[in-house]
Amino acid sequence: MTQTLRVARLDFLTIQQYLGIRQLGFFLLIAFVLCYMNGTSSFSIGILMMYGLFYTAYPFAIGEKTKIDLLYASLPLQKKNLVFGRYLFAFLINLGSGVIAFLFTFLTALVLRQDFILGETAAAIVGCFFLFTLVEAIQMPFYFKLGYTKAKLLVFLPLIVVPAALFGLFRMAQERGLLDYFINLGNQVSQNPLPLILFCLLGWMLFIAISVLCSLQNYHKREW
Amino acid sequence: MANVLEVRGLCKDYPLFSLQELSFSIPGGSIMGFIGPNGAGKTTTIKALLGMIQKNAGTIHLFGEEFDGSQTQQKESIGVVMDSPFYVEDWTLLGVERALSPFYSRWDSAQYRDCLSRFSLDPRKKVKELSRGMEIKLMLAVALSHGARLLLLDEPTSGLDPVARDELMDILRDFVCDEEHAILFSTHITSDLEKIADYITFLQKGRLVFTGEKDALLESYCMVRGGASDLTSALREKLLGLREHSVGFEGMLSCRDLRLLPQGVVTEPCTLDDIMVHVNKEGSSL
Repeated sequence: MTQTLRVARLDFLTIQQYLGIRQLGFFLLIAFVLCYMNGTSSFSIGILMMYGLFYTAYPFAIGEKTKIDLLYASLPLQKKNLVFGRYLFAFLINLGSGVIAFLFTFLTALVLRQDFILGETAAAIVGCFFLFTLVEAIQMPFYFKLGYTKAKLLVFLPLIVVPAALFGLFRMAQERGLLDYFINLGNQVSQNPLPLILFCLLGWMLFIAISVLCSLQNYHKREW
Repeated sequence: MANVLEVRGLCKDYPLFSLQELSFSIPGGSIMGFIGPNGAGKTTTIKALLGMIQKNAGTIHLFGEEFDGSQTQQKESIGVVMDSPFYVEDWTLLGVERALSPFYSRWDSAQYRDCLSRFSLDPRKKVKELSRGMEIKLMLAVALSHGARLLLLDEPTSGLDPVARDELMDILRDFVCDEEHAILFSTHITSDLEKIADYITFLQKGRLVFTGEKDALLESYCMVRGGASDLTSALREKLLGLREHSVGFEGMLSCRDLRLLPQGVVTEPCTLDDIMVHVNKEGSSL
């Protein structure tokens, strides 16, 4: 665990220059402008958490630019700890972007004089957290296998495929008249959401575990 | 002197290149020069030692224990100096310490600061602001600060001026002054090895040509120059990398075959460069 934490810290130090106040301020400004134009403070949640998604790829990108893989090879560090540390770093980045999104939405609601609905905001942030961590879980094995440059086109596929798949499922349900069924199902589940939440949580954990295993295998086989 | 590093039968296959049955040892307190033309397999060997590539066969023993690149305790004793630094370029030299020191149980912060001072490196400078010589000194400072006992140097002196190279040689000599430390020094600047190396391992096209004491290698061969009439058929067979021109010939000859030389033929000591060039021309082993 200690080595894992050290790797997560090393990843943070690697991209620290890109996490400055200026960069953060720029992102927040863009998010605020978009919220203002749309008239809703919660519009920024997806955007701010997507910035987190981009930052999780930075250690791979900067690492390739600086040949930091030679550094990892020279350190007394097992490959598995590097993989665990990179996932921990990604998890913390997502957590951090969620916190920033929450605070920003609250402050923007104050500025725009809107109601801040805690439940909805939290649900949106949690939903984005799970969605983006799933996207990262698809991307990470590719980064570990191919490196950033070769993988960067492939890894954006989930950002297209996942929304397209969801949209496709929605249209299919609509055309087959299943939409009402799912709406009724949703209403029933909302009365007792605990089983569904547990099921989704377990599914998420399983997905992440499979991603970690794939990354471990890919990185172990990787040669420089 | 116990061996710090032992490589036995190391093999690595690529589609267009194979490292074949490489074996050599580095005794404690010594510097092994690692030479060969471009593409001979020197960097491949170093990568295999660090576990950056998976070897197809062979064993590596580090400080008497088998090593496959993943044993973290043994890895703490390896220092790596490449031809360019592999640190984030926006790190300051103090930031380099902050990033790396947690990984080493024997990191000595005072030693690091002392090295920076001795090498005239400003701790507040960023890695991207360092000159070529300073980059090498930084990597050495890191290696010396975590208690490295084996230094792996891959072309550290390329691009350095003679003054900087001389300073580096002094640092390396100090490093091996006891029998607990050793250096594997891969370079094309063979004059540096002639000054400092105790042993030489010579690779060519993935094959081991020679491994042993440097002086033994240099004393085994000599350069021969003579007139066209001096080139007998027996001599022609024995000369390595024979080059004939309008007024004579030159080549490299094993000292065992000096009896074949007619009078009037000039002999000179070989340099490592001469050996590399003439063996390469001949395409054979020693």
